[in-house]
Amino acid sequence: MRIPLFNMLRRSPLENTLKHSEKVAECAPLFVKAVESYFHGEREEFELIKEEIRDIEAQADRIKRNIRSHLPPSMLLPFPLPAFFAFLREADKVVDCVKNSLYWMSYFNISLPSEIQRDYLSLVRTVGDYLGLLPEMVRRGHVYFDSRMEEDRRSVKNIVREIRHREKASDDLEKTIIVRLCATEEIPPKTFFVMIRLVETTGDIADHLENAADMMRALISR
Amino acid sequence: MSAELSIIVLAIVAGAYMAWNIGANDVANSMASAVGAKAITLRQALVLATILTFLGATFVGSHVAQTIRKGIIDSEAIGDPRVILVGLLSALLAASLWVCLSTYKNLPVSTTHSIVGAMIGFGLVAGGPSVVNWLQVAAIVSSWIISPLLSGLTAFLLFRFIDRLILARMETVKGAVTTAPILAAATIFIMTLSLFLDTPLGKRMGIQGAEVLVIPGLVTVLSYFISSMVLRYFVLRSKFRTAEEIFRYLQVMTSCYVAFGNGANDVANAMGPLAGIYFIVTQGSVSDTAPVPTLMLAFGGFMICVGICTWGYRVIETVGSKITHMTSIRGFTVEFSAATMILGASMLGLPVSTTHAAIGAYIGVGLARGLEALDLRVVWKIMLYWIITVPVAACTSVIIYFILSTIFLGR
Repeated sequence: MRIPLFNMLRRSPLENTLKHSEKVAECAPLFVKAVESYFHGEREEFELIKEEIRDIEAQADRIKRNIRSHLPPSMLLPFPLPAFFAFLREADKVVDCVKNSLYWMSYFNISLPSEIQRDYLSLVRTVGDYLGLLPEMVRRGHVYFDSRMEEDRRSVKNIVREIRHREKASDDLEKTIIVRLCATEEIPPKTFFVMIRLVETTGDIADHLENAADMMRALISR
Repeated sequence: MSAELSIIVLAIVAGAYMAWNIGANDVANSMASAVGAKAITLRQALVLATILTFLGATFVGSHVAQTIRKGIIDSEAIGDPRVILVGLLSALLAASLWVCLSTYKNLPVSTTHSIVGAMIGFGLVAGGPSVVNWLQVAAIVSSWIISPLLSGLTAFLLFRFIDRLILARMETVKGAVTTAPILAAATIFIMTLSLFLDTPLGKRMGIQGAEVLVIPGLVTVLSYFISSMVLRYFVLRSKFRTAEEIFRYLQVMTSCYVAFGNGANDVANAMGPLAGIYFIVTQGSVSDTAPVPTLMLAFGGFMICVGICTWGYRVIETVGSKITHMTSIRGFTVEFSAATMILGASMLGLPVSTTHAAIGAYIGVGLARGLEALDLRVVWKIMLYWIITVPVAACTSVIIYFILSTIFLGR
């Protein structure tokens, strides 16, 4: 059967990007649950969730590779291809950081003063909430590129602003934990080192999400 | 069965196949984007395409078709009517075969350029290079660049215009209230002008020179005021929420126009050589132009409609539901740009193809960042097929000519 003119029209890469971002967001509740299990001493549960997140990360990676390999430079898109790849890279780093945070926790049994533990859980919950904004941002972006209407563009801009705002909140929490860690003398050096890396890696989740939002802002520029 | 009768039967089959192809592919393309944008349903598209194509082919299709399409070869230099008879049949069969192959390969080729290429092939073997109008060949080669370039430029500018004046506003309807009547009037101008410009209707009404602009001009002014008033009336009653809803109506208009135009213009590709063969068999002489009986045009129109109803609906359905989501604004931009370019080129006497113009328009909208994803590799492949259409059709025509002349002319 012949579909002449329309053979050259392809589906938007944002369709698969949405699937990728949904995979990333799927990690959010699991991440929170894993950290809670860890601090409740349920190591088996923690390990199971960690493996589940590793699987999700692998799936997200496959989707990302699929998107990249189906976007040759000959594809004419409504946004610059390098900016889109940068967006995808940043979105993918989010799930990498979730996985890496859990890996830092799994290297040895971290024992923390209760207030630092509480602050870290608070950081994890903040970041976990925040991950849900990624698929929503991609969905709105897709709607905008389909309609090209200013109203839809504003809706993307609103969520970009919301992500920036939330990143600032998580950044403040990250700094607070680091200050507390430095101020607490009784923390063993190994725990201190792992906690610094853990807090930084968890903070990176928010940073990469903010970078992805910045790239989305560049994609929708008129 | 006599040789003449065999030739006529073969010519009818080839002409019918050519007309079927036009319906299955080209007309389907005109309606597919409107279905894709959900401006009309598949059933409505089929009904509209069938009626308009038949009307276009039967009533506006040229009654005096150029038997040697686009004057590409000098028939007088060849002389022998029997040679031209076999040549016309070879050309028709070669063009049909080429269109058939490209249909199989999922690539759009111009039916006009296929028949022209086939004519060149037959002209070269029957009368040598001197019978071929090389200036006309050069014009066709230039049209491979000119038609996509001009329609692409029109589409690019039009999409940017719509983007800036309508889509970039928070309330797109407000932007459309002032802009859409201008676009509606421009569409109506193109449609009415092409009805009178160099058409049997225009000739019957005795319209000549600048007079051709009078009726379209008046209709355009009138349509501007009417569409403006109607639009304001409905906007005040909150009938439209977005500009997209307004553009649905404009898109249906342009889709109908393209279907009508396809019927009117392309029926000659299938019926012109057939009319030429019929003329030679009945009159025993050659003419650059031959009267095409209304019945023959109706037959061509009917076969185009069969093409729409047999394969065309599948093309429309696939494009409409599976391939991509086309908004009405994009569909309108593509069709309006292609139609404008075709009209402009016709006024300049350039042999352009609707398919080429439409592809150029898609690239134009894509460059204006209006499409979600457009694969330029497919575009290059399509363009390669445009270029090889003429030589391949010519070579096929030569082979068929040798076979047929052995059978019918005993050479």
